[in-house]
Amino acid sequence: MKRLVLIFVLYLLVHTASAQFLDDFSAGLESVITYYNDDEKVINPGETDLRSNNYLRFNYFKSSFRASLQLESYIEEALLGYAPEFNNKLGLSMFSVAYTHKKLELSAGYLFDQFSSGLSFRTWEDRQLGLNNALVGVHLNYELIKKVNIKGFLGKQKIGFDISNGTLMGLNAEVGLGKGFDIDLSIASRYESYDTDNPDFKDFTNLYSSKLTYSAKSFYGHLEYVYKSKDALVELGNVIDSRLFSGNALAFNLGYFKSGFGFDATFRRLENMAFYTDRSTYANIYNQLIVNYLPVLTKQHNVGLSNIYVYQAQTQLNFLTGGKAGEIGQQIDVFYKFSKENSLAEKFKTVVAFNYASWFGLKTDFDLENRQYSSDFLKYGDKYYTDVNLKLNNEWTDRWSTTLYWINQYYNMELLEASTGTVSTNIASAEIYYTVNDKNEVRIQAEHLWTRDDKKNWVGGLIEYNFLRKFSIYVNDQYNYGNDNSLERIHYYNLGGTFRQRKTKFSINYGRQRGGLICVGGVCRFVPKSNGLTLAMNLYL
Amino acid sequence: MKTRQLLILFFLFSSVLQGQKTLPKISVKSLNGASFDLNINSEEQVLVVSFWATWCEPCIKELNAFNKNLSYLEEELNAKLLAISTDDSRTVSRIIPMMSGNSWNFEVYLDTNQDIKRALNIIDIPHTLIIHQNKIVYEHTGYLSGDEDELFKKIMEINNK
Repeated sequence: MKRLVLIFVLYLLVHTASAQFLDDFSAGLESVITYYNDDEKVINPGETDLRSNNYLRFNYFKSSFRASLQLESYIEEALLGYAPEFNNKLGLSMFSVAYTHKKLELSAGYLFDQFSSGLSFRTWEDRQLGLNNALVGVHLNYELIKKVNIKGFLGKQKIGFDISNGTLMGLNAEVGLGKGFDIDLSIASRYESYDTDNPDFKDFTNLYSSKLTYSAKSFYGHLEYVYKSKDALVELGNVIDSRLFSGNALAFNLGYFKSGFGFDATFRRLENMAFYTDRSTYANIYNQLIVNYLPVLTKQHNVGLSNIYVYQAQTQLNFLTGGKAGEIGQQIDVFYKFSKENSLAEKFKTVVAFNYASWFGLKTDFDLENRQYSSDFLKYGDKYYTDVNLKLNNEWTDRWSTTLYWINQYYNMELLEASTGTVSTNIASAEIYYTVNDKNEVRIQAEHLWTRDDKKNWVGGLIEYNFLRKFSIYVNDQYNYGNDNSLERIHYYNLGGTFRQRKTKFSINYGRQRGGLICVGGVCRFVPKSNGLTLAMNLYL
Repeated sequence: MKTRQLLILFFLFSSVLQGQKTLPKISVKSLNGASFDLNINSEEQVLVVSFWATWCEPCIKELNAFNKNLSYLEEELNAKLLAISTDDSRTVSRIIPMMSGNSWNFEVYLDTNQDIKRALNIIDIPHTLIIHQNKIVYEHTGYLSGDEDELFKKIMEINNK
């Protein structure tokens, strides 16, 4: 009994002392643990069977002060497809402190920020991609006067648990011009010294960026231009200091909207815009030390089979695969909700989404032997990729709703993968949601990919059952039944379940990964084929 | 005996850890650049904050459900909905046409480089919070149709206190 009293007194003391601290403190753990095992159809690459990625983040704030800390571990190795630098590592990955006083904010440590839309500078974290290119340094943000904001930074960049050789610095001004116009001007620079005899070679490489934005009642648009100063060509990690090339980006966006209708169109041209803090990491497949954000401008579909032929933005200057300097193309989006009274389309709450994207190489003239090239500014070169798609959402009753999807893709394997041929696909998907009662819901999806090219036809499907508002179980499969090679006709099946309680989440999955590109926000990571059992959890404090 | 004491100790301490979190200083920008201070506004009314993205199917289902119940949420429950988009610059231009095309009538705010999501220690979206008087009263990850009813009940409880 005495002990119980003692415990209670101790509790009260700790409670009083720590309650406020804990109210201002939060922690989140994200953990993914996979046990890889071979089966007769899918042999896992790599020696290690048990792999896990774990992220533990702490945030603390007190009035004008903020601090954060992130621990990461990759035991025994990182999940398949992540950079090998992470393998068998455990430790402090990031920390930061920030202080805000009126219109001034100062921060130091591992920091995330972007200038404008990120074409010249963006640091961000994406755990699914294994991408964390945080700035390691100092950052300042100051609202000079109303509608005039300036910011600047100086630092190195995070790579794995290490930091870059090169140094980054930048300045940015956002100015509201009135009457719906805003302008954004910036310069982002990378300094990396290099021993060279070439007098034209500069240790500094600068990206100058300007963006004009306009918005009105039912119109908006922007025009953005970035110029990258001359930098050395890099091939397979070797800096070729005798060959210097500049780069540039041009983007133009226009939108119109009213209730029930929205239209958006973007044109973009990129030439030699890939930019890394250390020159030697140019074009690395893990996106490490990327300085700027050059996302692919296509729609990311929620249809599994649409992710077999995935386009990635062509941002690099490359003489080794026949000569490539960038991309040019456009994307259009239209959303429309049927609202004509008493029509069937209105009754069944029909919303249509149309998207079209097409991307081409630049019109260029390459002298591969001498490592020289020239390009035409607004001319289109070889076709790389197109994607035309239509999505139809309906709510038939309070309980039934459906999503129908049709996607038509063209993918130039020869130019995009240095492989042979091109692929034209048609993909159809139907998805049904049925609410059984206020605690149970069923989701069924069926999809098919038709193509006469490459690996031929695929079929796929998913059944998911959500019950008691906390649990869900699912089974899905993708099957390349049309493959000419019978050994490649593999069922990529998965089954699993999820438990969620408020923000806590546990999930378990067993099955085969098809392999290919995992893309988030238009940046992709290659994952190999694998088979395994995965446990994942999100826990919070 | 010892086991029982340890269990009591564990539950007592976890009750300390599970307390309502204070809202950090957060100001969000709407699509037209206007600032909204969550700290000041949560003193006056209940805020429902939903983190979403144009590519996130359950997020869109959740926002459709909120839109359907918007007048109930705003007028009867006296709450304000803030849909904070975590779309980065790849998809941020799809927000306005998607909003208009779905006839959404609530305001959308931007978290283009996920600074707010990080400050609130959010891992997955959709992630929905109820904020009142500078406290995070309720949090929820994921969406199944009908989840909004539980959220409305919570708001009613707060209003009745």
